[in-house]
Amino acid sequence: MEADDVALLAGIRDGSEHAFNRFIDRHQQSLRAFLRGLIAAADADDIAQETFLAAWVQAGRYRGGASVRSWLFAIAWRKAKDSHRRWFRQRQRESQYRHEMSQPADGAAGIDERLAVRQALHRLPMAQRAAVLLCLAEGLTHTEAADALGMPLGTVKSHVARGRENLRAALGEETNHG
Amino acid sequence: MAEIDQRLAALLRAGAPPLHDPIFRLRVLERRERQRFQRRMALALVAGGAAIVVAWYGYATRADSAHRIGVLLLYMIMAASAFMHAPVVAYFVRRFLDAPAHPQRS
Repeated sequence: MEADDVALLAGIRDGSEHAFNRFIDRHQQSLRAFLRGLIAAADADDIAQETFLAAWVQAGRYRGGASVRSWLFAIAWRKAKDSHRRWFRQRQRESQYRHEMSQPADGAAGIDERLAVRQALHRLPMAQRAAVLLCLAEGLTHTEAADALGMPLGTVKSHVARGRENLRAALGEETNHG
Repeated sequence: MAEIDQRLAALLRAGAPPLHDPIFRLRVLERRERQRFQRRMALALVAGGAAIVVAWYGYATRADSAHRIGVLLLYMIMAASAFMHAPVVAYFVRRFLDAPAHPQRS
């Protein structure tokens, strides 16, 4: 998988449209899911698009130190942080968040459980939330997440451990109530 | 991974975007084309502005008849070009005039 990603990135560096299309198809789901956990869905897709455009422009700067996924998530993380700082979008984000919270869950997961976990997730500090999303939801290793977030490995581990405890507590409370 | 972690992961992934989403890919490509177009237009505007300044400077400093004809030709070409690209020029002027204080992204 990583070898394919590196090959795709080399193709993008050479200006291959095909490689860029495949790169987007391959990573859009996890990237958008990660960003949707950090910021409102409308903003998340916008930032995801910007991330892919940045990847197109910066493909030549990838040096192979970290995995391609970490590199891509690192771009997205920086953009999400910038977006999060913009005060004038706060109201829009909040209304979007309320709308998302009122949406029924899909799949096997129960509505109450999903809401409880989502609400607990959004109560976490942003860096902790990002670490939890990358390691628990997207399956990155702690090292990959540390590369992506630009944090020391120990910090990522403690973020994930604390975040996991909070989410487990929320899930446990919900299960007890249900 | 513990069962509760698997449950957490499933709950966190619930509501994720679809695995294949051509619309999203098209939006990225459309946005990239728009950026390229805007960059090209900005470059053309800068080049055009520089040409006007250089021609005007030459005209003002040594205006022999050959030079006057040259400058006139250059301005005519630029006017024709602006006329041919009128919708694009109008679009940029409109965007410039209507630009909100905090631009909204699409």
